[in-house]
Amino acid sequence: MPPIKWFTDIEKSCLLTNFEKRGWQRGSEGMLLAPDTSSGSSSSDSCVVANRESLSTDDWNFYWAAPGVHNFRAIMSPESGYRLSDAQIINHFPNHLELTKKDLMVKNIKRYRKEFEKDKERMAQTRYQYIDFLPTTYTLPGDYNLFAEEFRKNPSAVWIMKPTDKARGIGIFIINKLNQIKKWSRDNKMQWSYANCKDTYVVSRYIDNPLLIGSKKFDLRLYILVTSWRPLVAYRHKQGFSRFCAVKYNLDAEELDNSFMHLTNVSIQKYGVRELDALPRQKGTMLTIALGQEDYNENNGGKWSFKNLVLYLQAAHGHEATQRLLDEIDSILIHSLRAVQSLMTNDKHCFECYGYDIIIDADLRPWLIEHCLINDIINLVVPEDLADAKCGKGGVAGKTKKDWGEFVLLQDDATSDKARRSRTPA
Amino acid sequence: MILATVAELYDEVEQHVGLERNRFREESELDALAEVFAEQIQSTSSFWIERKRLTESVLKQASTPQELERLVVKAFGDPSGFHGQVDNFTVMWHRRHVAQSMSIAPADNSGDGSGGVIEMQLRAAAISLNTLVLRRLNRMSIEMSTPLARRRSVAEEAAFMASSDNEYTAELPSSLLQNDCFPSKGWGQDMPKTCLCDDADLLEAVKAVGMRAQAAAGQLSASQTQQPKQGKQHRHGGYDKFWTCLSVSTQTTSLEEFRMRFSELHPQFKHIGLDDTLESEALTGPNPGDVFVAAHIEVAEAALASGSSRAARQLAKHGIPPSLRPRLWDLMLQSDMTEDYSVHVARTYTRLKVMASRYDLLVDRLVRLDAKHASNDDGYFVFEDMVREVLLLWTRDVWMRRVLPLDPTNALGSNNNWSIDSSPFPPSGVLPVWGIALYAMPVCFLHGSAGHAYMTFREMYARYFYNLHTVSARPGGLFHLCQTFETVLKQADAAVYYHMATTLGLEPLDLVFKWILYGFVGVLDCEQVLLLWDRVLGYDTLELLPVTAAALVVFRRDQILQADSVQLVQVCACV
Repeated sequence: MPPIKWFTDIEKSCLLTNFEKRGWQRGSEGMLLAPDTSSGSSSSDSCVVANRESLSTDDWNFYWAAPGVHNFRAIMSPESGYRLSDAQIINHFPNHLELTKKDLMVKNIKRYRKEFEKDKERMAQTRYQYIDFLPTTYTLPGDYNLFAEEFRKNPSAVWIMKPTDKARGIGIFIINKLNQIKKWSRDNKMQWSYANCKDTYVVSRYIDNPLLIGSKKFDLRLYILVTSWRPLVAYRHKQGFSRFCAVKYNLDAEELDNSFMHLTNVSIQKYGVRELDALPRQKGTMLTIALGQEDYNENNGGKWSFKNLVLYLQAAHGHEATQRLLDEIDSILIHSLRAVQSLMTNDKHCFECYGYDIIIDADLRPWLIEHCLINDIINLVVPEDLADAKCGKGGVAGKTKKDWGEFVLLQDDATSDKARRSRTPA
Repeated sequence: MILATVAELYDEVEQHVGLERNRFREESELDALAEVFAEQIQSTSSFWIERKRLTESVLKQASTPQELERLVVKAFGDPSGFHGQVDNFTVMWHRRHVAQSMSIAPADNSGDGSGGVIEMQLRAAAISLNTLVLRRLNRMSIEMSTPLARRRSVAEEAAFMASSDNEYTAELPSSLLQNDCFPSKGWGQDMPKTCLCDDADLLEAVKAVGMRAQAAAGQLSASQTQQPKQGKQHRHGGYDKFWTCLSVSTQTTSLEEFRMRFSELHPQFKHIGLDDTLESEALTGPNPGDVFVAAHIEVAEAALASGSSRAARQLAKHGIPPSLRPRLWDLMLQSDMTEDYSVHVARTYTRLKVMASRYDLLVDRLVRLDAKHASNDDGYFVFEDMVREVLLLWTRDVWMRRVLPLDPTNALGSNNNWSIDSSPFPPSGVLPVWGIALYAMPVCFLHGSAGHAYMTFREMYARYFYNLHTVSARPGGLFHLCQTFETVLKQADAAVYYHMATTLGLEPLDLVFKWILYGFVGVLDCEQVLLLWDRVLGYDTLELLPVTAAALVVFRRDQILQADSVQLVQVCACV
């Protein structure tokens, strides 16, 4: 078997060393290269033709593409007429935004939850009963009236505002008064209508009683790999981690704008000062930073392994409570995938890795905060044999468990469907 | 009638205590010892509460003196009755006071009081180390122009209490860099440290035991044969020093004896930390039924219900499931016979906390610096604040002074400069060793509250950690452990020992000294450290540490034999 050829449009060293470690070779991209406009003279006509030929035969098995970049769209777009061969896989599904864009994710999960709760029979079948895992969330400006009503019902509640299309904690702020939103909208010089509003936000009930360890707040980052949507085949990576805030947590009103205490994103904890200062300051609502960077430790980046977290929880909260929490976390992972299962474009050439952010509250109840797309840690999230298997050895699920590296199977409808069919011959 | 009951109870207690001890003492001594124990038990609040309870319940039921006697015996011997508490208490008291006074024997049973000589040599080493520490302490006090102890003003006291995390980082000298090595891991960390006594000092002290006597003898022979004086690196040049870097040899346990003593560790038994992970990997499906773990948890629950520290110990030899570890460790460690453990913890915690706010100690700065080690480790950084708090309480705890086998001639506290409000400095009677924070780190994995974590820590410190960094003649003292390591490794794999000591010029003890000194904290993964300490508690001996160190070296033997430089060995031996 010839060595696997890879191609990527993100030149990150972690990708390159990983390919190298696997003994893969750099491939080349074919017809997607921009036409060579500099060599337009007639003398080189024959050369151009020759180039065209070579271009049409692109040479890669494994494409690691940045999401949203034109290359990926071009490959997947039906108009391109481009067809992936059996020995080609790429690291995205065409419409992952259904899961990773905050407002769409919320919409999909809300809808799914309604269906799920109606469908008593299906509910009884699964052991994943935990479905109410999304903090109360509204999309702004669309749901403003609903939100205002809910807000007045719980005047003491704290809410968190997040832009729908930004990551790494950018643009996030915490509010506990309704007029803070009004002020924010005024500052943005925005009229609240769909017509002229580019920046949609989601506003969620802030989990203000998070579980604290060493008096500090943390969230959980887990990784999921989906290799097929219909039937759903998904894996969970063993090496999740929890990310800790650098300062002790308290919910004093005057501390609400201290992002070091409330936001666990590593980029906030690490670059808080620089990155947030670069944002346009919005009076009163934006994050003001009181602390320097000395609380951030370069050695561990505030990351604690999932394994150590479980070890601590077992001791501090007992076996049963911990096991229930872990089951509920699995429940979140599976249900959130099911929520978009029917919407996703299923393509056997695609796989995708998602990061999940989960917050555990003081009652040991997990809450789904958001999804994101993972595109820079291939060494962590791709099982060693994934590419081989998809490139013609017949599906990851067919492999023995050992070959999955650090991945464990989360859900495999392909196998269970087959099993069911074989049991009940129609 | 009440008097009769009380007398009955006394008898029971004394009789039981007597049975406990008869393995150790002569008949005449036994009675005296039983009396001491009975006295101790009567001084606990638990005894009086139990007596009241028993008296009341028995008097209600009994109608004749005979029946009374029967009922008292029955109530006492009940599995969850007072019997168990007395049992735990006597085992613990014996461990704390009698076992500490034992000392190790010389290697050759030639009699003629060579045991006394070794004891004196170890004592001399301890004293010279102590002198060094005290000298450094005084110098530090002068350099920082800070008194050893200072009463805080009322305002400062309030400020200390208000800052819930005891963070007085402003007081810290900036000499400790954030990327400083973790004490048990770093190699060749020659940067200046702010400490009283570090691992290098201790290793030197261990190696120097008996050195003076030997050097005197050596010089004598050298002058007789007119040989040039040997350099420092050749001081172990003689053949008898070829297989060790220690100058004195004492009796250690051989591999065969260890196999007998630690027979429960044989792979034929199932172990938590090994068979439970194998089990969950072998079983597929979303919910693997952990058969072994479930059975183990059941036994553990039974041990907890019985309240017997012996049962807990037996179980711990096969490891403890993480969810039950806090309670089982407490059962093995805490036997102060208090009416309500949580109340006891809260009371102790509050008292020490007030002490901490009242006095500003010079050693607080060292302790705070040391706690910063936690932030450099990706397993323990979460507990940095908790480690600091635990250590600050530790420096204040006079309980330490009571239970630790401190040398009475030790100058600590006898000098007037070192006392404040007529209480000696530091109240605990021990000065922090470099890396003291490492001892507190694994304990934080067990308890969410600093109070409970501290109570576990102080028992662990009194029993084990203190011995790990103290040169003494006690079995399980640092010197004894080092010698045990050498003996076991030589017996288990002489080829590796030879390769390291001669070809590479790296004394095996130099490699593993920090592992033993810090109880493998930071060397092994957090979970593995706890699993190892389960067994240490179960067997109630630190000798497991040198055995583990030797096992690790043997485990890495192929890499070590292939290595041609000291650096390579250090890399490949670090797990």
